[in-house]
Amino acid sequence: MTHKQPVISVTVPAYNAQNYIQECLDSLYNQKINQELEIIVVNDGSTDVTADILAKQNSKIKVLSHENRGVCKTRNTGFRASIGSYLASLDADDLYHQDKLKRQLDYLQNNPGIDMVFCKVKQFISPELAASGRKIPKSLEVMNAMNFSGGLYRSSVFEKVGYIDESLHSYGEFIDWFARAKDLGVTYHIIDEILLKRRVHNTNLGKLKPSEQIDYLKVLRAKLKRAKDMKNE
Amino acid sequence: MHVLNSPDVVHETMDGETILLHLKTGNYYSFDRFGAIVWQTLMVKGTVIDLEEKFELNEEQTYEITNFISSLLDEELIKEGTTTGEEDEELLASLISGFKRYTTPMLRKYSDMQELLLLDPIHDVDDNAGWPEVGK
Repeated sequence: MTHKQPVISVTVPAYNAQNYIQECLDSLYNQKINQELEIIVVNDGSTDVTADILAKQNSKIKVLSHENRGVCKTRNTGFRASIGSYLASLDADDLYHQDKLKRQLDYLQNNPGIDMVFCKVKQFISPELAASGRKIPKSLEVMNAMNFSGGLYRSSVFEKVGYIDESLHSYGEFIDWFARAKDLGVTYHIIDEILLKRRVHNTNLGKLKPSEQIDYLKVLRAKLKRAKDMKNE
Repeated sequence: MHVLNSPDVVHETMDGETILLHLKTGNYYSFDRFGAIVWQTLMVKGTVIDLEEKFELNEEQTYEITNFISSLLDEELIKEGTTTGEEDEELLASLISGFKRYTTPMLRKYSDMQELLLLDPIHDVDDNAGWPEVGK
Protein backbone atom coordinates (compact mmCIF):
# COMPACT_ATOMS: atom_id res chain seq x y z
CA MET A 1 0.00 0.00 0.00
CA THR A 2 1.41 3.34 -0.91
CA HIS A 3 1.00 6.35 1.33
CA LYS A 4 0.26 9.66 -0.22
CA GLN A 5 2.64 12.49 0.51
CA PRO A 6 0.92 14.75 3.04
CA VAL A 7 0.13 18.22 1.86
CA ILE A 8 -0.12 19.70 5.35
CA SER A 9 1.88 18.72 8.43
CA VAL A 10 0.43 19.80 11.77
CA THR A 11 2.67 19.83 14.84
CA VAL A 12 1.06 19.43 18.24
CA PRO A 13 3.53 20.08 21.05
CA ALA A 14 2.31 18.34 24.22
CA TYR A 15 3.41 18.52 27.81
CA ASN A 16 1.13 17.13 30.51
CA ALA A 17 -1.79 17.62 28.17
CA GLN A 18 -4.02 14.79 29.41
CA ASN A 19 -6.97 17.05 30.10
CA TYR A 20 -7.39 18.45 26.64
CA ILE A 21 -5.34 16.65 24.04
CA GLN A 22 -8.05 14.25 22.90
CA GLU A 23 -10.35 17.18 22.10
CA CYS A 24 -7.48 18.84 20.31
CA LEU A 25 -6.77 15.76 18.20
CA ASP A 26 -10.45 15.24 17.46
CA SER A 27 -10.57 18.73 16.00
CA LEU A 28 -7.75 17.69 13.67
CA TYR A 29 -9.44 14.41 12.72
CA ASN A 30 -12.58 16.39 11.90
CA GLN A 31 -10.89 18.70 9.44
CA LYS A 32 -12.98 18.94 6.29
CA ILE A 33 -10.12 18.74 3.88
CA ASN A 34 -9.53 16.31 1.05
CA GLN A 35 -5.78 16.53 1.27
CA GLU A 36 -3.44 14.23 3.12
CA LEU A 37 -2.77 15.48 6.60
CA GLU A 38 0.24 14.56 8.68
CA ILE A 39 -0.32 15.01 12.42
CA ILE A 40 2.86 14.99 14.48
CA VAL A 41 2.46 15.05 18.25
CA VAL A 42 5.65 15.77 20.12
CA ASN A 43 5.50 14.58 23.70
CA ASP A 44 7.80 16.81 25.71
CA GLY A 45 8.49 14.40 28.54
CA SER A 46 4.97 14.45 29.97
CA THR A 47 4.62 12.99 33.43
CA ASP A 48 0.85 12.51 33.26
CA VAL A 49 -1.01 10.06 31.00
CA THR A 50 -0.48 12.02 27.79
CA ALA A 51 1.63 9.18 26.38
CA ASP A 52 -1.15 6.65 27.06
CA ILE A 53 -3.68 8.83 25.31
CA LEU A 54 -1.38 9.20 22.32
CA ALA A 55 -0.83 5.45 22.16
CA LYS A 56 -4.57 4.98 21.74
CA GLN A 57 -4.71 7.07 18.60
CA ASN A 58 -3.63 4.10 16.45
CA SER A 59 -1.99 5.17 13.26
CA LYS A 60 -3.73 8.48 12.94
CA ILE A 61 -0.80 10.40 14.31
CA LYS A 62 2.96 10.23 14.39
CA VAL A 63 4.31 10.50 17.94
CA LEU A 64 7.74 11.84 18.71
CA SER A 65 8.98 11.91 22.28
CA HIS A 66 11.87 13.46 24.13
CA GLU A 67 12.75 14.51 27.64
CA ASN A 68 11.29 17.78 28.80
CA ARG A 69 12.85 20.62 26.84
CA GLY A 70 10.18 23.32 26.74
CA VAL A 71 7.71 24.33 24.08
CA CYS A 72 10.13 26.12 21.76
CA LYS A 73 12.32 23.08 21.22
CA THR A 74 9.31 20.79 21.15
CA ARG A 75 7.52 22.72 18.47
CA ASN A 76 10.73 22.85 16.48
CA THR A 77 11.05 19.08 16.73
CA GLY A 78 7.68 18.77 15.03
CA PHE A 79 8.41 21.43 12.42
CA ARG A 80 11.73 19.83 11.54
CA ALA A 81 10.09 16.40 11.18
CA SER A 82 7.30 17.77 8.96
CA ILE A 83 7.23 16.57 5.37
CA GLY A 84 4.20 18.49 4.12
CA SER A 85 4.41 21.37 1.70
CA TYR A 86 2.54 23.44 4.24
CA LEU A 87 3.13 23.53 7.97
CA ALA A 88 0.76 24.24 10.80
CA SER A 89 0.73 23.85 14.55
CA LEU A 90 -1.93 23.47 17.19
CA ASP A 91 -1.38 23.78 20.90
CA ALA A 92 -2.58 20.72 22.78
CA ASP A 93 -5.32 22.59 24.60
CA ASP A 94 -6.72 24.48 21.64
CA LEU A 95 -9.13 23.50 18.86
CA TYR A 96 -9.30 24.01 15.14
CA HIS A 97 -12.59 24.85 13.49
CA GLN A 98 -13.39 22.03 11.05
CA ASP A 99 -12.77 24.32 8.06
CA LYS A 100 -9.55 25.86 9.35
CA LEU A 101 -7.04 24.02 7.22
CA LYS A 102 -9.21 23.93 4.10
CA ARG A 103 -9.88 27.66 4.19
CA GLN A 104 -6.25 28.48 4.75
CA LEU A 105 -4.95 26.03 2.17
CA ASP A 106 -7.40 27.31 -0.43
CA TYR A 107 -6.22 30.83 0.29
CA LEU A 108 -2.53 30.05 -0.12
CA GLN A 109 -3.11 27.97 -3.25
CA ASN A 110 -5.08 30.82 -4.81
CA ASN A 111 -2.66 33.52 -3.70
CA PRO A 112 0.85 32.42 -4.60
CA GLY A 113 2.33 35.74 -3.53
CA ILE A 114 1.34 35.22 0.11
CA ASP A 115 3.66 33.17 2.27
CA MET A 116 1.50 32.46 5.29
CA VAL A 117 -2.08 32.94 6.33
CA PHE A 118 -3.76 33.42 9.71
CA CYS A 119 -7.33 33.65 10.89
CA LYS A 120 -9.34 34.90 13.83
CA VAL A 121 -9.37 33.16 17.19
CA LYS A 122 -12.11 32.98 19.75
CA GLN A 123 -10.86 32.59 23.29
CA PHE A 124 -13.02 30.60 25.64
CA ILE A 125 -12.94 29.81 29.32
CA SER A 126 -12.29 26.14 29.87
CA PRO A 127 -15.31 24.51 31.56
CA GLU A 128 -13.47 23.67 34.77
CA LEU A 129 -12.86 27.39 35.30
CA ALA A 130 -16.49 28.31 34.79
CA ALA A 131 -17.14 28.33 38.52
CA SER A 132 -14.35 30.83 39.07
CA GLY A 133 -16.47 33.48 37.38
CA ARG A 134 -13.54 34.47 35.19
CA LYS A 135 -14.53 36.17 32.02
CA ILE A 136 -12.53 37.10 29.01
CA PRO A 137 -12.58 40.85 28.41
CA LYS A 138 -14.85 41.60 25.48
CA SER A 139 -12.03 43.26 23.56
CA LEU A 140 -9.96 40.07 23.79
CA GLU A 141 -12.68 37.50 23.12
CA VAL A 142 -12.16 37.47 19.36
CA MET A 143 -8.75 38.50 18.07
CA ASN A 144 -6.53 37.99 15.11
CA ALA A 145 -4.90 34.60 15.69
CA MET A 146 -1.35 35.86 15.53
CA ASN A 147 0.32 32.84 17.05
CA PHE A 148 1.64 29.53 15.74
CA SER A 149 -1.74 27.81 16.12
CA GLY A 150 -3.44 30.43 13.99
CA GLY A 151 -1.28 30.08 10.93
CA LEU A 152 -0.71 27.94 7.90
CA TYR A 153 2.77 28.39 6.49
CA ARG A 154 4.42 27.41 3.23
CA SER A 155 7.35 25.20 4.18
CA SER A 156 9.63 27.61 2.33
CA VAL A 157 8.96 30.21 5.03
CA PHE A 158 10.87 28.17 7.57
CA GLU A 159 13.76 27.76 5.16
CA LYS A 160 13.90 31.53 4.86
CA VAL A 161 13.26 32.55 8.46
CA GLY A 162 14.58 29.56 10.34
CA TYR A 163 12.86 27.91 13.24
CA ILE A 164 11.86 29.14 16.68
CA ASP A 165 14.56 30.67 18.86
CA GLU A 166 15.12 27.95 21.44
CA SER A 167 16.75 30.30 23.90
CA LEU A 168 13.30 31.69 24.66
CA HIS A 169 11.34 29.95 27.37
CA SER A 170 7.95 30.14 25.69
CA TYR A 171 6.78 33.70 26.03
CA GLY A 172 7.55 35.68 22.97
CA GLU A 173 8.44 32.65 20.80
CA PHE A 174 5.96 33.57 18.09
CA ILE A 175 6.49 37.28 18.46
CA ASP A 176 10.20 36.85 17.84
CA TRP A 177 9.70 34.47 14.91
CA PHE A 178 7.04 36.66 13.32
CA ALA A 179 9.10 39.81 13.75
CA ARG A 180 12.04 38.09 12.02
CA ALA A 181 9.74 36.88 9.26
CA LYS A 182 8.39 40.38 8.66
CA ASP A 183 11.89 41.84 8.63
CA LEU A 184 12.77 39.35 5.88
CA GLY A 185 9.81 40.41 3.79
CA VAL A 186 7.61 37.35 4.41
CA THR A 187 4.04 38.21 3.43
CA TYR A 188 0.88 37.19 5.22
CA HIS A 189 -2.86 37.56 5.22
CA ILE A 190 -5.47 37.21 7.96
CA ILE A 191 -8.72 35.49 7.00
CA ASP A 192 -11.55 37.32 8.70
CA GLU A 193 -13.17 34.19 10.13
CA ILE A 194 -12.95 32.47 13.50
CA LEU A 195 -11.14 29.25 12.66
CA LEU A 196 -9.34 28.65 15.95
CA LYS A 197 -10.61 28.31 19.49
CA ARG A 198 -8.15 29.08 22.22
CA ARG A 199 -8.71 27.67 25.66
CA VAL A 200 -8.12 29.83 28.68
CA HIS A 201 -7.63 27.54 31.63
CA ASN A 202 -5.45 29.36 34.08
CA THR A 203 -6.31 31.50 37.07
CA ASN A 204 -3.14 33.54 37.07
CA LEU A 205 -3.54 35.21 33.74
CA GLY A 206 -1.11 37.86 32.80
CA LYS A 207 1.15 37.52 35.83
CA LEU A 208 4.51 37.01 34.27
CA LYS A 209 7.42 35.74 36.27
CA PRO A 210 10.63 37.78 35.95
CA SER A 211 12.21 35.20 33.61
CA GLU A 212 9.20 35.47 31.34
CA GLN A 213 9.35 39.25 31.40
CA ILE A 214 12.95 39.05 30.29
CA ASP A 215 11.95 36.91 27.31
CA TYR A 216 9.53 39.52 26.06
CA LEU A 217 11.96 42.35 26.53
CA LYS A 218 14.73 40.36 24.86
CA VAL A 219 12.56 39.78 21.82
CA LEU A 220 11.57 43.42 21.55
CA ARG A 221 15.13 44.62 22.05
CA ALA A 222 16.32 42.33 19.25
CA LYS A 223 13.56 43.59 16.98
CA LEU A 224 14.47 47.21 17.57
CA LYS A 225 18.14 46.44 16.99
CA ARG A 226 17.38 44.77 13.66
CA ALA A 227 15.35 47.80 12.61
CA LYS A 228 18.20 50.09 13.59
CA ASP A 229 20.76 47.94 11.73
CA MET A 230 18.61 47.85 8.61
CA LYS A 231 18.21 51.61 8.71
CA ASN A 232 21.97 52.05 8.96
CA GLU A 233 22.67 49.81 5.96
CA MET B 1 6.76 60.65 43.76
CA HIS B 2 6.38 58.16 40.96
CA VAL B 3 6.78 54.42 40.66
CA LEU B 4 6.61 51.81 37.94
CA ASN B 5 3.07 50.96 36.91
CA SER B 6 3.57 47.39 37.96
CA PRO B 7 2.47 44.70 37.16
CA ASP B 8 1.15 46.10 33.90
CA VAL B 9 4.53 47.42 32.82
CA VAL B 10 7.82 45.56 32.61
CA HIS B 11 11.15 47.14 31.81
CA GLU B 12 14.81 46.51 31.32
CA THR B 13 17.81 48.77 30.77
CA MET B 14 20.81 47.36 28.97
CA ASP B 15 23.74 49.11 27.33
CA GLY B 16 22.20 52.46 28.18
CA GLU B 17 18.89 51.74 26.44
CA THR B 18 15.61 51.17 28.27
CA ILE B 19 12.85 49.03 26.79
CA LEU B 20 9.39 48.99 28.35
CA LEU B 21 6.38 46.86 27.58
CA HIS B 22 2.86 47.68 28.67
CA LEU B 23 1.21 44.29 28.98
CA LYS B 24 -2.33 45.65 28.94
CA THR B 25 -2.02 47.72 25.77
CA GLY B 26 0.63 45.75 23.88
CA ASN B 27 2.57 48.94 23.24
CA TYR B 28 6.29 48.93 23.78
CA TYR B 29 8.67 51.85 24.23
CA SER B 30 12.32 52.71 24.14
CA PHE B 31 14.57 55.56 25.10
CA ASP B 32 18.24 55.90 25.78
CA ARG B 33 21.03 58.04 27.09
CA PHE B 34 19.67 60.74 29.37
CA GLY B 35 16.20 59.25 29.13
CA ALA B 36 17.55 56.05 30.67
CA ILE B 37 19.11 58.08 33.50
CA VAL B 38 15.82 59.86 34.17
CA TRP B 39 13.97 56.54 34.12
CA GLN B 40 16.31 54.70 36.44
CA THR B 41 16.42 57.68 38.80
CA LEU B 42 12.63 57.51 39.00
CA MET B 43 12.77 53.77 39.60
CA VAL B 44 15.31 54.09 42.42
CA LYS B 45 14.30 57.38 44.04
CA GLY B 46 10.79 58.08 42.80
CA THR B 47 11.78 61.62 41.91
CA VAL B 48 14.24 63.44 39.65
CA ILE B 49 14.62 66.41 41.93
CA ASP B 50 18.36 65.89 42.28
CA LEU B 51 19.12 65.72 38.60
CA GLU B 52 18.97 69.44 37.95
CA GLU B 53 21.78 70.15 40.37
CA LYS B 54 23.77 66.98 39.71
CA PHE B 55 23.97 67.59 35.98
CA GLU B 56 23.77 71.41 36.06
CA LEU B 57 20.71 71.43 33.88
CA ASN B 58 19.39 74.64 32.46
CA GLU B 59 15.76 75.72 32.40
CA GLU B 60 15.08 74.32 28.96
CA GLN B 61 16.54 70.94 29.86
CA THR B 62 14.52 70.80 33.07
CA TYR B 63 11.42 71.56 31.04
CA GLU B 64 12.24 68.73 28.63
CA ILE B 65 12.60 66.31 31.50
CA THR B 66 9.26 67.41 32.91
CA ASN B 67 7.68 66.78 29.51
CA PHE B 68 9.31 63.38 29.34
CA ILE B 69 7.90 62.41 32.72
CA SER B 70 4.47 63.67 31.64
CA SER B 71 4.62 61.39 28.62
CA LEU B 72 5.52 58.45 30.87
CA LEU B 73 2.45 59.25 32.95
CA ASP B 74 0.25 59.70 29.89
CA GLU B 75 1.27 56.28 28.63
CA GLU B 76 0.64 54.82 32.09
CA LEU B 77 4.19 53.57 32.37
CA ILE B 78 4.57 55.17 35.79
CA LYS B 79 2.06 56.15 38.43
CA GLU B 80 2.07 58.07 41.64
CA GLY B 81 3.37 56.13 44.58
CA THR B 82 6.31 55.45 46.85
CA THR B 83 9.27 53.45 45.64
CA THR B 84 9.82 50.11 47.36
CA GLY B 85 13.59 50.46 47.27
CA GLU B 86 14.03 47.27 45.28
CA GLU B 87 15.26 48.86 42.10
CA ASP B 88 18.78 48.61 40.84
CA GLU B 89 20.93 51.35 42.37
CA GLU B 90 24.07 49.93 40.80
CA LEU B 91 22.52 50.29 37.39
CA LEU B 92 21.73 53.92 38.11
CA ALA B 93 25.28 54.53 39.27
CA SER B 94 26.61 52.91 36.13
CA LEU B 95 24.39 55.03 33.90
CA ILE B 96 25.45 58.20 35.67
CA SER B 97 29.12 57.32 35.49
CA GLY B 98 28.73 56.75 31.76
CA PHE B 99 27.14 60.14 31.24
CA LYS B 100 28.88 62.25 28.62
CA ARG B 101 26.48 65.01 27.70
CA TYR B 102 22.84 65.86 28.04
CA THR B 103 20.47 64.62 25.34
CA THR B 104 16.76 65.38 25.20
CA PRO B 105 14.91 62.35 26.60
CA MET B 106 12.57 61.05 23.92
CA LEU B 107 9.92 58.39 24.51
CA ARG B 108 9.62 56.26 21.38
CA LYS B 109 6.38 54.30 21.21
CA TYR B 110 5.72 51.24 19.05
CA SER B 111 2.34 49.65 18.42
CA ASP B 112 3.18 47.25 15.61
CA MET B 113 3.19 44.15 17.79
CA GLN B 114 0.07 44.96 19.78
CA GLU B 115 -2.03 42.06 18.55
CA LEU B 116 0.71 39.55 19.15
CA LEU B 117 1.61 40.89 22.57
CA LEU B 118 -1.98 41.01 23.75
CA LEU B 119 -2.64 37.48 22.57
CA ASP B 120 0.56 35.90 23.78
CA PRO B 121 0.56 35.79 27.58
CA ILE B 122 -2.96 34.45 28.12
CA HIS B 123 -2.12 30.79 28.09
CA ASP B 124 -0.84 27.83 30.02
CA VAL B 125 0.78 29.24 33.10
CA ASP B 126 -0.65 26.64 35.47
CA ASP B 127 2.16 25.39 37.68
CA ASN B 128 0.80 21.86 37.65
CA ALA B 129 0.17 21.28 33.99
CA GLY B 130 1.22 22.57 30.64
CA TRP B 131 3.73 25.22 29.78
CA PRO B 132 5.55 27.46 30.33
CA GLU B 133 7.52 25.19 32.62
CA VAL B 134 10.88 24.77 30.94
CA GLY B 135 12.69 21.45 31.12
CA LYS B 136 13.37 20.60 34.73
